[in-house]
Amino acid sequence: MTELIAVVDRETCMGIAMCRSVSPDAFRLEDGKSVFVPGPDVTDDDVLEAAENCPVEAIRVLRATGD
Amino acid sequence: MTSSTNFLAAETWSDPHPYFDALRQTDPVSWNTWWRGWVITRFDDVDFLLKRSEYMSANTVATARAQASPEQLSRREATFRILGSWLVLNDAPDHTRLRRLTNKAFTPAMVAKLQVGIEARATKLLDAMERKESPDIIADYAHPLTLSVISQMLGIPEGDRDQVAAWGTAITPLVLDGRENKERREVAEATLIKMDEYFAQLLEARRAEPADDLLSQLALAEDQGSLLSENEIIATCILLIFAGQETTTGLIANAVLALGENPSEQAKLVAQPELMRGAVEELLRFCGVAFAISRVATGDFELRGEQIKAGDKLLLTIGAANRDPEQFDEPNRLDITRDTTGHLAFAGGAHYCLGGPLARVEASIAIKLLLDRHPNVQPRPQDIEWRGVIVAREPVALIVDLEPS
Repeated sequence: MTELIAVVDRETCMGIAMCRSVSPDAFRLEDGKSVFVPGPDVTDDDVLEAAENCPVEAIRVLRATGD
Repeated sequence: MTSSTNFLAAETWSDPHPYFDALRQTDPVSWNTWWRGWVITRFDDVDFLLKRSEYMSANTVATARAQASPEQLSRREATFRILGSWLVLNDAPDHTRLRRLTNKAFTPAMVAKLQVGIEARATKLLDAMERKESPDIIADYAHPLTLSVISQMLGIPEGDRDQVAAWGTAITPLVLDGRENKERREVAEATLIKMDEYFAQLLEARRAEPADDLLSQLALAEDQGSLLSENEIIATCILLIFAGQETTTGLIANAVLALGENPSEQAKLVAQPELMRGAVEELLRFCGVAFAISRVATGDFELRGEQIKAGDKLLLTIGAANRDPEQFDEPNRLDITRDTTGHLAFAGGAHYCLGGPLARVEASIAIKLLLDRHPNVQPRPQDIEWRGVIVAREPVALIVDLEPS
């Protein structure tokens, strides 16, 4: 699991799927918009890479604080 | 099914939509014997393939290199080396690595900082264009505007910009599918070598004395972590010069033409400038420059009953997909207030247009300032010559009447 989680702003997301290309394990498209799918294979780098490469800056990175 | 149409022949290319509309209806995955590959025209298929890069490779250079004779390999060394490092022609992981550094220069936030400079430049060009007898939207306005923006971003000295721009145009035959004549190809290859030398020198100068430009940032990235090789940096500069001017120039010209042919939409935009954001998206859908993208299948797969084999060429026709009635109501009508969500003018997936945010800002400013001053601007009746390349559909020149009588 990751320490970081991605939050996709659905208003800004244009369904370009850059995140899915950069981090295929961490994102999928639903109704033409990107959704973050946490899972055992997803790394913090996947989250950061996707956020950094999003052409419309629709991905925010948050630190998970759950105990 | 199979077709043999040369869709770049003037009779089709001057108005390609009737041909591609018919193809989409009757043969959406069509083997074209002239192009020697599959032509894909439905929105769903083009969208799916663009966003599932596991099916396809962008690396058409590798295919050409594998087929080249030893003599060609040595004669075309620079072409294979430089185009082989273009991010548009690479797959992950090289593509991701090449793209990461340049991505940051083209984010919406970075591009917003350029706005004031673009407006000032466009205003000066309009002043000069108004004194011309036959103002050409391309040569007098859109091209000098986009060239100055990308040159400034990169850090090309002002005195070199016209030369570099001419080089950028001259290398076109190398990129566009090899259907150009031999003489132009040889000029293009010689030009590429000149650009290679020029950017090597400029890079050296920026290393010695960094400036506030992309070239200096790339040079710094090379020094710090050697993420990019020198050849990759030079290749990236050449790519940006090539892709940073022709494309947005064509978008602005296509937009002025489309608005001129749809005077009620132009009047609506003049009356309600707040519609500009949506209007640019609709113009991208309706007449975006990138008409098609060429790819190579990486494995065998089936698409609408057709068997695609590994190594087959695929032509993803963005221009046709954006006119698919299954996706957009009355797709052949320009409607600046329509919902254009999902249009593919900048492609999608890993290769989504790096310069998209910049193109949007440049086009918005260019169209707004033109219409502010000349709300009735109209293309002069003329035989438009369209550039004969499948990846970009744009006129060679577009003469307008700024104040039609």
